[in-house]
Amino acid sequence: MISKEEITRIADLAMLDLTDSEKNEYAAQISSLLDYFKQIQSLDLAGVEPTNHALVADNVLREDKAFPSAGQKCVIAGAPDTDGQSYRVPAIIETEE
Amino acid sequence: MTGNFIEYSNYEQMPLHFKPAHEIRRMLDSKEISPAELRAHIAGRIKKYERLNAFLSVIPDAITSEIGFVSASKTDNAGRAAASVPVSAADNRYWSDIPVALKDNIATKGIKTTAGSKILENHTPIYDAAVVKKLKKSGAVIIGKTNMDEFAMGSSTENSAFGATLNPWDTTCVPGGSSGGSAVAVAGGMAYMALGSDTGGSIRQPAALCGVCGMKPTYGRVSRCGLIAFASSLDQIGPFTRDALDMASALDAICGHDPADSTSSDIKFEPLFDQIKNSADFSKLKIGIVDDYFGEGVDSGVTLQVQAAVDQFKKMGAEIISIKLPHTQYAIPVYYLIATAEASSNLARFDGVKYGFRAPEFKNLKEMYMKTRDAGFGAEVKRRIILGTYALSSGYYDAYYKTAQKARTKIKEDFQAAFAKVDLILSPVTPATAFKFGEKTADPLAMYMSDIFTISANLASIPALSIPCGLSDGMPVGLQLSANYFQEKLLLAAAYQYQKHTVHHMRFAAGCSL
Amino acid sequence: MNYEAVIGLEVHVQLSTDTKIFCSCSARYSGNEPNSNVCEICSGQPGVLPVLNKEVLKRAVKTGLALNCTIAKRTKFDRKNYFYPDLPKGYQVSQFDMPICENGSIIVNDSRAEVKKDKKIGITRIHMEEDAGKNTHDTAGIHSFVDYNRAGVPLLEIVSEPDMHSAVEAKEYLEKLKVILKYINVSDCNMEDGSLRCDANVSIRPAGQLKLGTKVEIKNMNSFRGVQKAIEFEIERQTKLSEAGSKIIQETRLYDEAKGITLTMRKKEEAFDYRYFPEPDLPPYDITIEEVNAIKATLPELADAKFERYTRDMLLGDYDAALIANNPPIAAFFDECVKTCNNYKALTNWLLGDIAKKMNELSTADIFTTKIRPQHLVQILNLIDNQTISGKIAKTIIDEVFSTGDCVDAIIERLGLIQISDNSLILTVINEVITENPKSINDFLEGKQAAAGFLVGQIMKKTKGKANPKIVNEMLYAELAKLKKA
Repeated sequence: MISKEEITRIADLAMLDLTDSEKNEYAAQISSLLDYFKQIQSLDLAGVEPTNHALVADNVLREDKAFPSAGQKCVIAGAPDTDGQSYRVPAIIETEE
Repeated sequence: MTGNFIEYSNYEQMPLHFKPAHEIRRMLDSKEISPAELRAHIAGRIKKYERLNAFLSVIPDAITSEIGFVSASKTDNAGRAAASVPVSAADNRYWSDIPVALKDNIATKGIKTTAGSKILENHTPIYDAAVVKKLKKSGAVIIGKTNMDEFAMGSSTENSAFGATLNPWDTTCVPGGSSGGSAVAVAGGMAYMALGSDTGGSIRQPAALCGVCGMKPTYGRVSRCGLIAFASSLDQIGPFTRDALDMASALDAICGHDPADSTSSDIKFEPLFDQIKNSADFSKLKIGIVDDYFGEGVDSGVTLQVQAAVDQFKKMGAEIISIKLPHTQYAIPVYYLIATAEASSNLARFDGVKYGFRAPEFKNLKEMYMKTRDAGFGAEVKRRIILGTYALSSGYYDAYYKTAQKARTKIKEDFQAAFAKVDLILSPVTPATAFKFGEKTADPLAMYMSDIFTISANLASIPALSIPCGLSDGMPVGLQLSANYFQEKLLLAAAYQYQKHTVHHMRFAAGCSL
Repeated sequence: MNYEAVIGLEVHVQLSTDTKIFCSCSARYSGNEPNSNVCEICSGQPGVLPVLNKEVLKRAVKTGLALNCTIAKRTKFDRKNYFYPDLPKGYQVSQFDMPICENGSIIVNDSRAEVKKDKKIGITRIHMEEDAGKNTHDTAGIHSFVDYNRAGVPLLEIVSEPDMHSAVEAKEYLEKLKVILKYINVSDCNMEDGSLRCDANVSIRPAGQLKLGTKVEIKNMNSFRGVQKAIEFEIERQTKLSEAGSKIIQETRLYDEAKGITLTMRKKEEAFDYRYFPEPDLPPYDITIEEVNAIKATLPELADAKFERYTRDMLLGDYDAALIANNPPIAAFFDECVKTCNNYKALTNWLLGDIAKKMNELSTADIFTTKIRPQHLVQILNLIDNQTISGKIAKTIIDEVFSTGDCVDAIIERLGLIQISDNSLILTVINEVITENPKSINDFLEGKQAAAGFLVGQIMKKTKGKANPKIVNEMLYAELAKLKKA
């Protein structure tokens, strides 16, 4: 059983401001999902390579050749808040006073 | 329940909106219909069936203005007036003037693309997805963006932030998901082809539930460039069509190597339309079936129709071979652990900084993030982000994520062993026909279990398609065929031959036949 | 109690490729308007996918080889997940458990030692990753502003072993690392403009204890001197805490260059949990022995090998050899000179003496930004050797080369600097001087040797310094001897 505290910690990592009732609901639902999912832990997977990538060919590279960028007006046009040049966000505070 | 469908015995009988695209192509080429008439007709259909909520946005230029309409087919360099010359199958302008729809998680430059989420409710991409560029090049008229479960997470389209899409066969039922809008657009005569995305069955399941064809090509066959990612190692774009032949021409338009997608396959794609149309020999085909897929947990009505399809294939000369896929019983945990883990990371970019929604009130940066994401995402998306974050978090990574990645290897190996013995694997698409709205929303596991037959193909990266194989209580039943990597041709040839001998794909919901 | 400091450095180096690591935007972003050097990929638009820049992989391997690393046969990228406004995707594409290079080392030369003393600093790993954007802050502390011009610029993170025990050693490690990276030409390596950045992990432990103390990470150091000062401050801070019996907290601290102190970074409510997992959008990369060898073949001779050659084959002193070997442009200049000049000692003296002084005056560290070229110096040395010019004239010529870049012959001709070695001409001048200075002659004849020096000076003055001093000396003494006899 995943505790509400655990869900709070995970929600914090995922930057989700869950309400108390959401936390309780998710704690219960995710607990029962994980109970069901635990069955894979009974598989004998010793020496099995994980499938980190789907069906892919290795070594996909591109030439180091520049193309014109999309440009400022284009990328910031859809932003919720800008100063006309940069994305504007609430102040990032790095040090403690 | 009977009498909720209309069956046509030939294309002439069919109203314009239900005809397959290859018939429309012929009519356009022979000037039996003009592009304007076709456009007006489809525009009328979309308006008329607005209540089904298949579309999130309709592209006004494509519908109303001659210039706008043609512009979609004139954006390439060919410089030839659309449909003024008969278009052959080998011509890469096969889709000229034919209205098609796109799932709303496929980026369209200058056209709103929401992925069914409030967090992208006002998002307009600055670039076209690779498939959009290809469709434009083939001359297709992109008429609109279709409804979907938010970020393709769901099996019912009930998770759309913009309201559910209704199943045209019974509007009290879900159309399936997550590409429900695309399935309904094709089933309801509002588009001749629609693209969806399939991460765990999101094309095949709604295709089955709405009685149309849907296909997930081999992973890497279609560029994912511009597909708003749900689970990167599982996502694949694919078409919804009326029949196998249209599926071939749809794949011809969208498949192929894209150097801008590192996971795109560089194995040469040979155009399928002519190959499928001229395919005949069927006698030596070996079809595998997994006995467990026909037993407990599958509705008898579904079993009956799928069994009938097995008999049909036998009659056509195929050899039916019993096979085992022992690790697919673990597919649901493996899938949900991998998909949610990847999703938790893929959805981190929606943070209120660069695009889309930002919460109106917050005291500081962290609160801006948390409130934006809490209000911007729906319940299922948040549930999956939490699950995926948990599976990747310190202390649980090995037990959940890494174990799931290893089990995925076992599932892949099962399929490789099976394809050493058989050419195709046949199964139901879903354990049951379309369910009622709200029936499974309270129980995530029950909802996830409805993906049991489809998710293995994503985990194994193999191609699979869903075609109509009959009705159960008046609701469509889907037949799934899957094949080994890059064997799209084999799949479509089998589906084409099956459809030559059956009428299931000629049936349409009576509710939207007029 | 005596404490020993234990220091490990994490260095981020921006690669000077043409384009960013995963998209085709230019990697040269400085001076551009905010968010003008961006596309859908590096600004993290929904649906975009990365494709690795070939040159990044190549330069990573080259760096690994230059730092004596083992190059991975197979390498992959991973996602490092965290939220920060300068991180457009909410994750950084980096490398976790299969880095491109591992187990390398750098030999640091201890400059404090009388005799050159080498110390090996281990390099744990080198991995490839994408740079983040840049945040700026308003003065009111209400808003921050985000610019993605830098987002996606290729970085190598070079992680050292905790093998350093003083701030000076850390600085020397950085200096040596920079020299090597300059030699292989993978990065601009400029701390001031951010193309080389350094974080330090600092702990202390009682001398003789094996167990490591609590580690503090220091960020925000903007110069080599800053690194040294910050580490010095931090060692002192930790030592004082320990001596006072206080606990050292594991944390990240920011260096405040103006105040010369470190400050606690805003504490996170949660410990970092980056949830690394393999990047599904980027297939792995296999690197064959042939590819490694091909890159190895392009490696230039590096500082340590040059030092060996200079001291062993050219018999330069350790100090001079190190000065040349650790300055890639000077070394290149020197190596070009020695192709046609085997007076190594003279070359070294001129390079590290007058030429270095000129460069100082011009405030340049790169000799190739000045107008002097190897052929200038070689020709000047040849002219000194065959006594065509004096050392004094050589200096005049060097000054002139630095200001005009003209060839030596043209300068000599223009300024009329050829040394006079014509005996009859010199004899004429000597006789003139003897006639004009009877008092000095008397002094000399009375045994005052200093008078001869005065006479030489008079001769040089009359010839404007161009007379060959050796010939002047010989001939003057011969003439004076004649007078003596008479």
